[in-house]
Parts: sequence; C-alpha cells; structure tokens
Amino acid sequence: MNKETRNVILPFLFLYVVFIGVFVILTITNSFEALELVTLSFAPLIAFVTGMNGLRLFGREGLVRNDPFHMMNILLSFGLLASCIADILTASISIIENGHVFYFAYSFVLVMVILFWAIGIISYLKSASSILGITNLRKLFHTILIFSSVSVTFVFIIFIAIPGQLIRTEQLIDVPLTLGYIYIVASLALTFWTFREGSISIPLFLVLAGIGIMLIRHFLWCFLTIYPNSPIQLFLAVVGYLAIGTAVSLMHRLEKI
Amino acid sequence: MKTKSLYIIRRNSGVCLFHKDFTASVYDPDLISSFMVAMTSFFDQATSSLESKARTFEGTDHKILLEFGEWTLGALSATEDSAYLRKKLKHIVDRFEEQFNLLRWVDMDLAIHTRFNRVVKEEFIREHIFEDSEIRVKLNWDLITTEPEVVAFLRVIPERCTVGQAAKFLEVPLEVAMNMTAEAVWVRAISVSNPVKPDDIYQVTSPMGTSGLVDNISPETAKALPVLDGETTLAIVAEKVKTSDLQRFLKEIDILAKKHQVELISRAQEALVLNSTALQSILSGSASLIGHRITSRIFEESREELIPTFSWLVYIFLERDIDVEVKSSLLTAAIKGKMPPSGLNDGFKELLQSVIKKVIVFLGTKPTKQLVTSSRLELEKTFPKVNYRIEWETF
Repeated sequence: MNKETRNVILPFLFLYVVFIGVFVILTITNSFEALELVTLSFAPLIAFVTGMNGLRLFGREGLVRNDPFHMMNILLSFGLLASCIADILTASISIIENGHVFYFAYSFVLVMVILFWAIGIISYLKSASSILGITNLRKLFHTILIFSSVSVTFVFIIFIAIPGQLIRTEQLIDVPLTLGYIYIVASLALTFWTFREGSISIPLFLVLAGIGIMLIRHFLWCFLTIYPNSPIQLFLAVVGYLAIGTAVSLMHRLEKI
Repeated sequence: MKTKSLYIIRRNSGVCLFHKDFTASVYDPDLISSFMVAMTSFFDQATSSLESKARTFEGTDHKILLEFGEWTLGALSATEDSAYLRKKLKHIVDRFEEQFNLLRWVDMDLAIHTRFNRVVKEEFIREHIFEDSEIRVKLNWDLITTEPEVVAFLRVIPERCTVGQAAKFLEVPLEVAMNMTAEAVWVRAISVSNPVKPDDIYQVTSPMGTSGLVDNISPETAKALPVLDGETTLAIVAEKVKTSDLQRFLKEIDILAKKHQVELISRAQEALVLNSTALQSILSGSASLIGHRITSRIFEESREELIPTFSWLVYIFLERDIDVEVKSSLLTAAIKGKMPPSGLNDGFKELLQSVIKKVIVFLGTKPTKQLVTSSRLELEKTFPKVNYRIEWETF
C-alpha cells in the first residue's frame, strides 16, 4: 500500500476503529441504552459525512456529466445521503410508540437508495460492456434479473403463505428491494471480476463489500425481523457506509493508488 | 502522378548525369541542367551566399524542386512542393553520390541509367501501385517497348484491369504483378490510376467556389461537398448525405479531383487524421471506465514524457469531455506536407503505447486489451484499407 492510498484510507480507518471500539466497550459493559443512542446517531452521521465527502470530491467537476465513472460516484454519494434520511427516519420511528408499523415507510426510502446505486453501477457496467465488446453481458444480466425475480417472489410468497406468517403482507415492498440489492451486488461482482487485475478493483471491491453488507442488513430485517433501528443493524450500516465512502474517496485518487 | 521529371546534374559543369521523364518529355535534359546550374550560381552570387539558396522554380501548374548534394544537384519537376517529395529527392541525390562517387573525380561511363533506374523506380513509381490500381494499356504499346518482361506481361493482361486482376491472369503473387506493373509504367507502355476509395479522405480546394463546380454532378454529391473537410472518409461522407449509389458518388469525386475542385489529403494529413481518431477512440473508452479526469491526466503525462522526442506533440491536446484536438499549426504543416507521415506515425505510436501502458495499471491487462481490440474494430469500419498503418499488435 503506497503513501497516497494510506492517506485516503487513514481517516476512514480511524472512524472504523473509534466506532468498533465504542461498540465493543458499550456491549461488554451492557450499556444498551447508550449503545442504542450511539448507533442511532452514528449511522446517519456517517452516511451524511461520507455522502457529502463524495459529492465534494466529484461534484467539483459538475454533478451531471457524460462520464459513467463520474456519474457512478456521484450516484453512490447520493445513495449515501438518501441512506442518511432512511436512518433518521428509523431513529424517528424508534421514539414513536408502536412505531414498528411504520417500517414500510423506511423501505420506501430505501427504494430511492437502491435506485441511485442501481442506476450508477449498472450504467457503468453497461458502458464497460459496450466498450470492452462483452456482448453476452446483457444477456447474462437479463438471466440474473429474471431468475432472481422469480426466486425472490417465490420465497416471499412461501413465507407469507405458511402458517404463522413469518413475513407480513405490508412487507411485500421488500420484494423489489431484495431484487435491487441482488442485481446491484451481482453487477458489482461482475465488474470487480472484470477489472480484478487493475487498481480500480480495490474501490470496486469496497463498494461490493459495502452494498453486500446492506443486503445482509436487508435479509436480517426481512427474514429474521431484526428491526433497522437495532444496534446490530446500525453497526452493520456504519461498516457498510464507511466501506462505500472509502471506495468513493479511493476512486477520486485512483491515479495515485 | 505528381512527379513529371527527375534530373541529376553535376554542379560544377552543369552536365546532366541522369534524367527520367515519368510522363511525356518536358524539357531537353541538357538544356534544363545548364539552366539550373546557371540560375543557382546566379542566386549564390546575388546573395553572396556560401551555401546554395535556390530551392524552387515555380511555373503556373508545376514547380521544379531543387536539392543539393556535395557535388550534384537534384531537380524534380512536380505539380506541388512538399516535404515528402523533397525528402525523396534528397534521398535520390544522396544515393546517387554514394553509388557513383567515382564520377566526382573522373568522367567515365558507369552505365548510370541501367544501374540507377531501379532506385528511381522504387522511389517514385512503385509506391503508387496498389492491388486496386487500375492499369490502362496504351495503344500500340508494342511499338513503345521491347522489354521482354513487359511484353510478356502486357500480352497476357486485358487492356483495362486492376493490378490484383493482372496477378490472377498471370497466376503470380500480387507483389510480382505490382513490380511488373511498375516496369511497364517505367517504359510508359501503360498508365496507372488509383480509383477513389471509400476510405480516402478528400477536401474541397476552395470552399468559396463550390457553387460553380456542381454543374456536372448529382445533387447528392453536391450536397456532400461541404462535408469534405479533410478529416472525414468518403464512406462516412456518403453515409452522412445518405447517398443511394456509392460507386457513382466515388466516380463523381474522381471527376472533381481531376478538375482540381477537390483533392486527396496529403499522406501526413491522413496519418494525422487516422492516428488522432485511434487516440480518440482509446481515450474515450478509457474515460468511460476510469473517468475523464484520470484519462486526461494519463494523456497529459504520456504527452509530456514524449515531447522531448516528438516536439510536435505539444500541438495535440484534449478539450472538455476528452476531445482530441489538433492545433491548426500542426494541421497546416501536415496539409502542406512539411511533416513526414512516418514521423507522425512514430510519435502517435509511442503516445498510444504510453497511454495504453498507463490504462493497464487501472483496468488490468485483459480489459485494456479488449478496449484496444474494440477501438481497432471501430477504426476498421471507418478506415478499412488504411487501418493497417497503425501497428495495433504493438500495443
């Protein structure tokens, strides 16, 4: 790792260490209230800071440009800012009595996050496939989309249909969300694999890891009903946001890596 | 053919040592050689110069270019004065002095014509013969030449055919047919013309005067004239104006070229257009994958590294959104033939190699190779017959 990479990663690493340290100490000391407060405030804060940092780095050259790489980073940053709104919403819901019934609203905000990320990443991959002449890539994606749509819908129907209703009907909004996450993660995995030898693979891997963590969060919520405001969910959120934020910063300094 | 006649003259005596008329005989060689030496001496005396200053004698439709050796003077009668022709003339003079150095000191018969013909043929005739060059056998050619090789060649081929077809008639490799064609051109038993090809790049000689030249051509071709900007291939021009009959369009361009209303761009200009298009394609691809800002930096760094070797690269720059731009001074130099195409090709080759090497760091070897392949295929569509001039395999 060279000096430039270290300089970019160091502030994020510092935040990781501080956050994990605080999280572990509060968990060991059984200070659950403090833990809840810390995670509830840390998650939107980190999402906001990393999102704004991304916009500061790439927005200088104009927000909308005919540059898929630039647009991917701008949309990743917008996704982080939208995640901040989602997390503030979670915090607001957590202070309302019987607020969990409003979690479907949280899912609606997440749709916006997914849209930002999906448009940015898939446009980038589409442009990469046309430039590199990978013609069967589009076919592969259609296959993934159809397969994941069918399987995810099927799984949700089963969970709703079986006695005891593991998934509530209002949670059907999570079907397109799950599909979106799977589609983004698959696109990123493919992009990362295509460029695995180049320096661009490092930030791509970090974005993949970050959004992969978001997918895990989503599964925890959908299938295990671990609420998005629970400390473990927010812990994962902070780790994911920091990974995406680091990736955007690295992509801005790609020539120095 | 741009060249009309070639003379190699002894400087101290004005004796013509070698001459060749490529088309019809224009001047008496002894007369012209004496005149040249007299005029160059006059210039030297008038300007009190130690080195000869005379470079060109200009007529209305042709020019006589001069290049000086140590003891000989080369004169080339041509339709234009370009760095490319001058380079060739200088090369001929140097080769002559090297081969017949003895003549500097003693006057003797060294069978100059027989021995030097091959060099001149190679330099001025062979390079204009391609697979699709059209051969027209002259009437009564058998009275013009008795060269056995040429006679054997002309007996077999039809009166009008391409060099490629001649190779098939004779059942010989294309290279051999091309050499035979050169021999036949040398003895003036045939004339060779190169048809207008879809990937040729033409420009209008006078954009102000296009209204007067559209009389005998179709409206489609007339519409295409403003698009002949010296940067776009005829195939693309035809596509832009939606020409229904490409062959007719090419024929009409040929007619206009013969009337000097449009002209084929110089080799240097062609090299500039071809290479800058290749560079544009690679940079645009790279910009989509690693961003405009980084691609722009890669280009700047590569260019800076190469400027000490190829100073003209300073005139190639990027505009917003990775648009490769060539400054007008370089373009003018290329149009006037002041830049050798080989120099441009070498510079661009190094630049592309450097850019690609840097892109590999970001994307890895395989995707970068795919990017280069896509650019090559894209260029093959635009410049199907000249794309080979870019050495893609070296990237």
